[in-house]
Amino acid sequence: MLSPATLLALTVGYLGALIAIARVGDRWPPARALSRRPLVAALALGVYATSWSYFGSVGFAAREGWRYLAIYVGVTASCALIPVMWAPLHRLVRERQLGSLADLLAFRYQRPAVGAAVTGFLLAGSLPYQALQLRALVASVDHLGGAGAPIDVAWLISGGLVVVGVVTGARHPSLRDRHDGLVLAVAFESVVKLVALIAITLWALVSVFGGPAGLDRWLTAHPEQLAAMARPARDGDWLTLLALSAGAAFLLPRQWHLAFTESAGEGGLRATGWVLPAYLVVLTLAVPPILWAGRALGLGGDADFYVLGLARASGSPLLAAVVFVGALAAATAMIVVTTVALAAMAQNHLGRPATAWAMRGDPYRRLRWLRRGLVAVIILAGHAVYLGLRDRAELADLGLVSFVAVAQLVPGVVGVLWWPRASGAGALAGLAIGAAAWAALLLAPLFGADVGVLAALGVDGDPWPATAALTLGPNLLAFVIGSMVWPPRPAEVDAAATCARRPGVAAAAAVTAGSPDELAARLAAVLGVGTAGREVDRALADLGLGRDERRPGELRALRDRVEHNLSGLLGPLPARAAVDDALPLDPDHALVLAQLRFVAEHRAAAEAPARELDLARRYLRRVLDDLPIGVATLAPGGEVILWNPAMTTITGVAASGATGLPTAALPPPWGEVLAGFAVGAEPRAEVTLPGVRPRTIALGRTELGPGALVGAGAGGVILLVEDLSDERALAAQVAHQERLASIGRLAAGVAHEVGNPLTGVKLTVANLRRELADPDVRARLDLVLAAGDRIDRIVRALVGYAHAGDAARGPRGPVELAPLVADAITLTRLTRAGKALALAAAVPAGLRVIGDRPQLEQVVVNLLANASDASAPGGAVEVHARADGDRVVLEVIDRGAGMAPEVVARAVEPFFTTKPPGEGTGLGLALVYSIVVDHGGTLALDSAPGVGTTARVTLPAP
Amino acid sequence: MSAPRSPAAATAIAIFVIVAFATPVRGLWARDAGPWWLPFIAWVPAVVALAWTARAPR
Repeated sequence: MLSPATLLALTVGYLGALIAIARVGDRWPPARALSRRPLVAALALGVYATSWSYFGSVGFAAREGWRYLAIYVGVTASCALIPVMWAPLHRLVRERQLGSLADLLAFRYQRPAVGAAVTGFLLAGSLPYQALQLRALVASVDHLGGAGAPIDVAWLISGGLVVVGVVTGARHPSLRDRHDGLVLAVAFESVVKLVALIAITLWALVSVFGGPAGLDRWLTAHPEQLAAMARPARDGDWLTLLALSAGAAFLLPRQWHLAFTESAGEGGLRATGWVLPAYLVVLTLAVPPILWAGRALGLGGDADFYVLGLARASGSPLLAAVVFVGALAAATAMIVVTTVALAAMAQNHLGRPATAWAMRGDPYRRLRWLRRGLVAVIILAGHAVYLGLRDRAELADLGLVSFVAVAQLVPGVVGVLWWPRASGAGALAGLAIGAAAWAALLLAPLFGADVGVLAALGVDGDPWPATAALTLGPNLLAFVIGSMVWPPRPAEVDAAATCARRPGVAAAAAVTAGSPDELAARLAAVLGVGTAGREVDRALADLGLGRDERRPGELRALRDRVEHNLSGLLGPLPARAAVDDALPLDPDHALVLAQLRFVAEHRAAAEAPARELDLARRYLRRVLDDLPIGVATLAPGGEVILWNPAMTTITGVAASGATGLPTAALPPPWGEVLAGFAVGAEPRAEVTLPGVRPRTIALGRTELGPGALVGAGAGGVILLVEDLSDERALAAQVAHQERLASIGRLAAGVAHEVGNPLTGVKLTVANLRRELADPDVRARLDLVLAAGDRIDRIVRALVGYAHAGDAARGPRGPVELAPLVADAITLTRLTRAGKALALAAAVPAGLRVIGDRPQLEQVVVNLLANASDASAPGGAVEVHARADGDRVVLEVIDRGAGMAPEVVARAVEPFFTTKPPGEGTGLGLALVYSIVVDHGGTLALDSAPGVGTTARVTLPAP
Repeated sequence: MSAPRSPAAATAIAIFVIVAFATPVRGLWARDAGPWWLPFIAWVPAVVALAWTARAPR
């Protein structure tokens, strides 16, 4: 029907078109962008449907009825697990640059043997599947071109696929660079095979049955056809097929490679969740009409190739060509992607000596050629298996052999995601037992070496439930028991923590290099100068850091990034070994905060592990909580969003009573103050709040940038509130002391200037008095002398006050208080004899202070004088003293008139007095204050009108 | 209709829909009579549910 030349032209032309699409996809930016669109990435996962689906599904449906759907419904079930299974794996794989399932499991279990075992096992499981594709293509040529074509089509296909694989899938040695062309080509193939299958289905419906109604009539006339579809579904197992295909949907090397390694990001995964099931619904809908059309036409033979039989029966070379191209698409997509995926695994896990060779030269170039060589070797190995198998098994059986193989990796993946106590020893034990059972039960029979286990167990008919249970059951058991007997080593615990997105033991340690250049120099010892420099430059560019970086947190992130990038190039374990060797960590130097800062500053939120982001968030929250300044944020509508503890301290309004409320609804006076300030024009203000003790509050305001609140549009306002009352009181006190000191200096000058002329005046007046005999004049001169004496007392007091702190200072030493107080009381009794006061002292014997005795006596006398003057006749005045740590507290207590607060505030000012003119100089308490302060003590007055006054002096004890 | 709020919710909804429809699918598979395309019809709501749950935040 199709000449050998046509078939050859179609084959070469199709493979050439694939290469062209891949080249365009790699080099032309719009095509590259198209390849990264989620829909295209999801369509590429249609690689799930291979020759097995294209041809074999019809044969499977002929034998197993509707059960063939389980293979595709299982994929739909797997897609339901994308958010909780595929997505976490995707994040881990992208973050750690793990290029394959073998890389992931080797990383999680920290054993090269795990990677090697997984790679070997997947190779063994995939090669029969590759053979299936070749067999389907050779059958296509036989059906459409006639047997005995002059070309060996299998070799032609294999040779062509080597070229396609090398060109499309091995361009980049590292996971960092996506093979956009490969993805685009595979997505194109998904469309081609679907279109071809729809075309032959439509032909069958129209030409064989005369339309859908004709099909219904034919089915009514042949009820045994629907019964044949229903019977196996009613009697047979379907859950096993569903579970096997659910696992295969992402664990098959080709699926893993396109879903994770060549991922288009999480958007691609989301699209896959529904695009792939929808694609498979359409694809599988074509199967029954093809099957029944084949039977209606009496095609006979193997239903696996009814698609080809119908194309032949159509007599249309065009339809035959379309079906042949569809077959090419189904087979080549599978072989190319699987081979590229297996080559990456083999390079990292089986080709260590070759990798070591690559590292001795230009590793990027050598690894690329190594990858290309492996692609060729694996395709040729598949060809060898095809030659060995020939026509020994049904297409669908060959596919299921691969499905059971990848199911053996499910326990290991469960350990990655959900069981941190799973160990590498357990994983290896499980895999070894599962692989051995798989080889004995499924692989050996393919090559005619059936050991007869199933027959011995009495399994007759459907072998899949039994083989799945006999391989996966012992595997799982060995995995669990092995993990319990040989628990994970520290490196595995650390890797398990990384997989669970928790910081591991080594996560906080600092790197032992002080700069990127030093880092590169150390790495050069392992990687060579050129590679080390290039990798450090790449990592610096990835992180947005400069060559002059010196911060430990950034350098640690740089080290990790280099390791991740190398993981994409060499595999996770060699990358870790190289980096650990060149750049050991210093566990004594923890960097938790530096790393948190780095996460907050540099990493996109979507990439950072949730745990690190949470720690960063809590750290920032703690900073906000511990700020001594009140901070509140307001939403654009004025609602309080954030209210820190300092805000509660300043306002007395708890966060729970503020957040969520409009600012104006806050308790007074804060509602009015903050709401007014938040919308005012001034960015800063100071307000005084009235009260018993007026408070000074400083307010600041700044706008939050747009988008600071998710979904809120405009950002809102930050308010800063600071209580300046204490600060202002302290400033007032300092100013007050400065004023007192100024008065002291003035007083000293006045006393000096007044004292000398006064002495002259007094002497002259005294002389005049002696010389004049007139009693009237002498009486008047007495008045002058009395006035002069009064001026003299004032001047002496002024001199005493002015010199209290310096000139009048005598020698200082321990002074016993009890006799000093007794003398002062005696003196006071003499001067206040008329008031008959009850003066009492309670001063412990031996209580001493450091000071100048005459000055201290002056202090007590002045305080007693004030207390006596304030007391009513017969009143009581008490003097108490006690030790208080390294201080001595002396209190003079009266129950007299007391003072109002405004009087207390000015009491120690010189010349401030409440006594009648002529009775007080206003210097007594000022002198007390001056002496006490000069002694390093303090003076406090507790007083209330009508209650009395306590003057409390503290002085240093010896 | 708004998307599910979390990956877990999305998965729970998707699994529920698939289980809810898989059972009748199996029943439909086992039918001897009726339109031949009936076994596919129950699959469609599952795909729609997956398309809806794919909009859940990650």
